Amino acid sequence: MSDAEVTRPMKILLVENHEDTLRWLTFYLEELGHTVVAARTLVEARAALASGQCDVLLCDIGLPDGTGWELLESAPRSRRLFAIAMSGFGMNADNGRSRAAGYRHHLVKPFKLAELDKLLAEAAQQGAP
Amino acid sequence: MRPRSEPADEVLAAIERERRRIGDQLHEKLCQSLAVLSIQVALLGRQLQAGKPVDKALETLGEAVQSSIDQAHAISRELQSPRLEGSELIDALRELAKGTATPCEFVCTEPVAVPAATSLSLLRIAEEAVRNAVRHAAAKKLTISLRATPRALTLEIRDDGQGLGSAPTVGHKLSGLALMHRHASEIQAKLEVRSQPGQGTVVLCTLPYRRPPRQSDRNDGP
Repeated sequence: MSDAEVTRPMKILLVENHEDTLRWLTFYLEELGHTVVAARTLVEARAALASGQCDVLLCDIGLPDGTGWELLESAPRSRRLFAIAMSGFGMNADNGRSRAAGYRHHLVKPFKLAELDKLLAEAAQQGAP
Repeated sequence: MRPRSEPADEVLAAIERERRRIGDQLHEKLCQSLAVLSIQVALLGRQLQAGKPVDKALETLGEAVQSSIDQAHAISRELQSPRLEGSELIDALRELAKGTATPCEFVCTEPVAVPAATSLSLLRIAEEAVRNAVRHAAAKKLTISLRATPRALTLEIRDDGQGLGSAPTVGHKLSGLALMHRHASEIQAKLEVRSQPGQGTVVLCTLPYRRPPRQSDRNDGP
């Protein structure tokens, strides 16, 4: 059984401004049984984060109107939210910045779906009753 | 004897900027497309496992593969140094004008034949001038022209953008201009940049050229 199969259904806030990536990642996550809330900008992401309890935040760092780091830095800290950053840059400094902002993991794009599956399994385990 | 000078900082900056641009293109376009492809393949696998019909998914996948191929081809074409023999420079400049997002006209009223190395430098100058006009000067209209007199060949790139602020014809503080000057010096051409704030920019590259004499040349002057 792959990591993708062991996750419980979760509510995932997906923040991504690349249309095709947003569309197909949404299909993929929904296919796994999750509920996806999509946002394309920092403003949309802030609104989505404030309006609903999400289990997972999957957020691109480079957004048209800001960064994924700003999103978490300005949001109230939640122990429940399992935040995963996505970025085309995997330098130590980027990774460290993501951790400092509150992200648990920093995925370097393009990443393998198996990496994402593994992190979702970790998130599901964390939130399991 | 004058020591051979190191490449100017501006030229190095221009090369770095170009590398960054290509890197960004690879990341923003090709890598993203390939990442999407991998998601589509994973979804297709799940549909197959579940015994669902996959005709539509296969069709979409085929289109996505073709799109990635097109993007890779476009980047590769940009990186290549074409060997432009004879009149192929005209075709390359016409293609450049056609492929520019901002309206761009190409004007060349007669065949021009120059060596391949000269053609490549002229093409690179035109590409840089067009890039500067579109990206940094917010030009709305451009004209690329190539004209020959009995003794000179002139490439002109004219835009209606914001101009350069000052006319750096010699100092060329901007790295794009430095790169154009370098290409011009490689073919012993004279590069001149005329620009006024808000009144566009004209890049003129002139080099010695021997055109077969024609009846109409009697009025062309030296």
